[in-house]
Amino acid sequence: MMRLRVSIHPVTGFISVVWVLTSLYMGYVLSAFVLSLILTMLLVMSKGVKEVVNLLKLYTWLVIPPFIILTIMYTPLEALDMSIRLLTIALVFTNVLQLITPLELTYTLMRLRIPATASLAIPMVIRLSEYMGYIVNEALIALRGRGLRRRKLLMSLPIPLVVHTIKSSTQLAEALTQKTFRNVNLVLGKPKVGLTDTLIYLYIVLMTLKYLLFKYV
Amino acid sequence: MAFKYVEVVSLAKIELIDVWYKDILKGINLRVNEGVVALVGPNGAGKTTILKVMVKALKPDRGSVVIPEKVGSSWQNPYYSFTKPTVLEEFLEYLGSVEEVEEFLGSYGLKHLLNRYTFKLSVGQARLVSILLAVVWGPEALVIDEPTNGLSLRERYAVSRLLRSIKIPVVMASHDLDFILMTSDYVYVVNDGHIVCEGNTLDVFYSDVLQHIGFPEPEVVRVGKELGLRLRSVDEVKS
Repeated sequence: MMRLRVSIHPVTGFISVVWVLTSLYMGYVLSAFVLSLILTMLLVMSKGVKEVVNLLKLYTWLVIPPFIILTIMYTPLEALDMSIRLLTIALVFTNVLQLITPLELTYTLMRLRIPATASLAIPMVIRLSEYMGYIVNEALIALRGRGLRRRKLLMSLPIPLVVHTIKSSTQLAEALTQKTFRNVNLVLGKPKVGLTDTLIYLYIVLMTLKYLLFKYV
Repeated sequence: MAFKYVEVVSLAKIELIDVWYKDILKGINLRVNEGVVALVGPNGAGKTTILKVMVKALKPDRGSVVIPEKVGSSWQNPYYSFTKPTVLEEFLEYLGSVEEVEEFLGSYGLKHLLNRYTFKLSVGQARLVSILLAVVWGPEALVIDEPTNGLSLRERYAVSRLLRSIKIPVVMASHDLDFILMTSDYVYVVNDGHIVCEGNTLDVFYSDVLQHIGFPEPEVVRVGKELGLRLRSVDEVKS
């Protein structure tokens, strides 16, 4: 199935996260939640329904235990409020990180005078976390295949992972040197503000105006 | 029918009955009783997924899986199986004494690897050690993914001999036709999540099924056809 390549400007991502956290702090939970849903829709367009549904399933398990505990401790309404806040934060962070192109984030960080190595390392760590999950799974299967179970399995797991990480980091460093990533114009694309960014800004501006009107007029 | 695993303690065999997994496996039926069985097919056909179902690493959406309690496995990256600095230490864990390890490795012609560092072994040597580690703990069946990736010709022969000498049923996934012809007794041809053909290795290789899914004709078969000869399997020779 064809998928649209949807991404957002790193600055848009940063503003979205700050705006959502501020809104939650000020008590405008619904507006913040709606923005996180808009970002989720963009992620669906970019990655496909299946991947996002799996993510949402994971977040459901993140939200259910606090909801139950808070319902017992307080009221169901307060529990719902807290659960939505938790879900909003989780969604906005994940969506923003997934929607920003790593090289565009690198470019933006370098514009902020962060050294090139660190600028590249940050997006790479974010993106490689998914790959590391895959590697952990592969190592687990391999160790089970030689008869390791339970405690022994967990105790042995870090060994092949550490060795693999050291080996692959060397290979990665060599590859990056070959690509001469310090030459920004050669490798990185300058991020552009697109339609998705405009829509997000429009929503943020409208909602902020609404807050201000309610508060001061 | 919902999915269920059936654990068979005493019977060393693997059986997949109408197994479905996402859009990767589409009703796989497969049965392994003995010998070396190969899953052959192009990249992305679903071979590795079938193996992962066999070792319970993936849970199918539908169907039944009959597997022994203990299934050994060796995967594409053999280095993930290592947890000790030397080959000797890896096997000491299971065999108890240095003499026993020497004898065990010697029986497979790998005694020279005894004191080598595991993570510094060549890919071929690591593959051999990884397969032996999957065998040494006494599983009732063995599953191997792409056993010839990155191996030299000599190492391929060594892996083939090793797999032939193992006394438990072996299931391997590969697209290396020459290696399959050399090693396996029975072949399942996998394409796009379906088993499109199965049978004695030679019968499958002499049919044109493999050419239909994009494989070239194996060199030995081509030369045999040109000379008007047909290879015979061990079973055929015996009968």
